[in-house]
Amino acid sequence: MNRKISAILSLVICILSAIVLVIGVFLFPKLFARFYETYHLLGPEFLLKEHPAYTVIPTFYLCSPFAAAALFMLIRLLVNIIKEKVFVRQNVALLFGIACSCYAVFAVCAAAATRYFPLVIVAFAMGVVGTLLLVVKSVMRSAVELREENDLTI
Amino acid sequence: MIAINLDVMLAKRKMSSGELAARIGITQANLSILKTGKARAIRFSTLEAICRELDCQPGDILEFKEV
Repeated sequence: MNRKISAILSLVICILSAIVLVIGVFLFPKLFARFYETYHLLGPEFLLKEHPAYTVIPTFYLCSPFAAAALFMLIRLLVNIIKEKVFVRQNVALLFGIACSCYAVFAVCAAAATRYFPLVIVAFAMGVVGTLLLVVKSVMRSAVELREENDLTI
Repeated sequence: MIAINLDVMLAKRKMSSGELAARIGITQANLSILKTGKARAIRFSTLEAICRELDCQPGDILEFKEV
């Protein structure tokens, strides 16, 4: 039981770190741009509108709210699991919310891929993850119904 | 729907719900779920215990009602 809780807590810490990173990049865009400049050696090419940064950075900022929402819902899901509330309707709704966030990121990246094609990889990955989560949600909903029936079997 | 009519048999045997619940080994909450018709299913072991304690047949407490 302790190993399970520590594994889930490690996941929660990772997700919290990701949330802090997403919010930090959203609130401090100059730092993010400086990081991009430092590690991608932006030069005069940045002035060209065809440069990928004109597509990648706005795409990232558009996807940030959906990513933050998905991460918050994931934390709530993990907290419910820690509290041993696994097969409950709230978790089904949380899984559906995370899937919708993935599909939203898929839509944004798919649109951005028309300007910068490599983003199609991110779009495809988010589409697959969203679909997987919808399947897991359906399985979880069936499990909730079975649990409720079992609870009401005297 | 199948209704479980425990009140009549409890009155006949002069037994309270709490006493029956304790004798058959279920909680009062679960017995209340049975009495109010919210139960989805009943185990044979539970039905057997109820009939043994109330000295009755399953047909005495189970009733089919058209919904």
